[in-house]
Amino acid sequence: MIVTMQSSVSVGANATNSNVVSTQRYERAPFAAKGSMFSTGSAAGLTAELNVGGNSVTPPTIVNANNRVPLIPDDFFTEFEALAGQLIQVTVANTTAGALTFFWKITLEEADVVVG
Amino acid sequence: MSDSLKAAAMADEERKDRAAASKKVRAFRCSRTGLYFPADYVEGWGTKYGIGLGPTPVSEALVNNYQSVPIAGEGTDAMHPVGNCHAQVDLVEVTQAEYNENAAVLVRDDPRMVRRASIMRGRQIAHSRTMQSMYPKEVNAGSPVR
Repeated sequence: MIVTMQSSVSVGANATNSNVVSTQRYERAPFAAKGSMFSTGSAAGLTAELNVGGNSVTPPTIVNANNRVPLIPDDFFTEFEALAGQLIQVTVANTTAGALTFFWKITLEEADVVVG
Repeated sequence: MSDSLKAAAMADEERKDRAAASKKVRAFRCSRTGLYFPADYVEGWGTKYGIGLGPTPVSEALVNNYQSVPIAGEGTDAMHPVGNCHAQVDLVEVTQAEYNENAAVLVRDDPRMVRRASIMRGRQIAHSRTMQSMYPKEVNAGSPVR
């Protein structure tokens, strides 16, 4: 089974959104999954950071400035693994003096995740 | 120096200024905003200009997204989000004066978007009712609008 979440959020000047995935249906992985994240920003100056189950998958990483809903595979950000019930958290920071839009898409594909 | 010599020298300076202003220069023009980019814009694509904007040279000029509600930053003014317009750029020849008048503020010269955000916020206040209600005229009398 594959599930997808996709949305966009405005991030104010010099502000941080601690979790853009918050309140989404699959904010917590519904099953053990291999995930993929895609993202774009409306202009240069956004950084994104992915945490899954409290583990940092990426440090704050520059987001491309393609200003569109993410295309696969062009706007690939990172892959990750998630166990059932783990929280997916994407923190976005705007390092500029102007408000920007962050576009994101996360797909979760059911997988056998080996632990330990 | 006599008055006539001074007047002649001044006239000569003025002629030189006019000649310099009417001299044509090459530039790339954003087909959406009309702003000009330097002549090496395409040559320097991905290194000097357009970093993060993909492989094809397009305009890095900003446009306002009025469909999103204005959002406030931390201790900064509220504004609609902005984004790169990605419009086509065309090679043109314009006078130096015209170029200077409509030169785009480049990302490399304004990486934190301080100058560009100020310009875009000014435009939003001029063109968006939501922003006009948030910012009384007297507060933003000094906002640059282009």
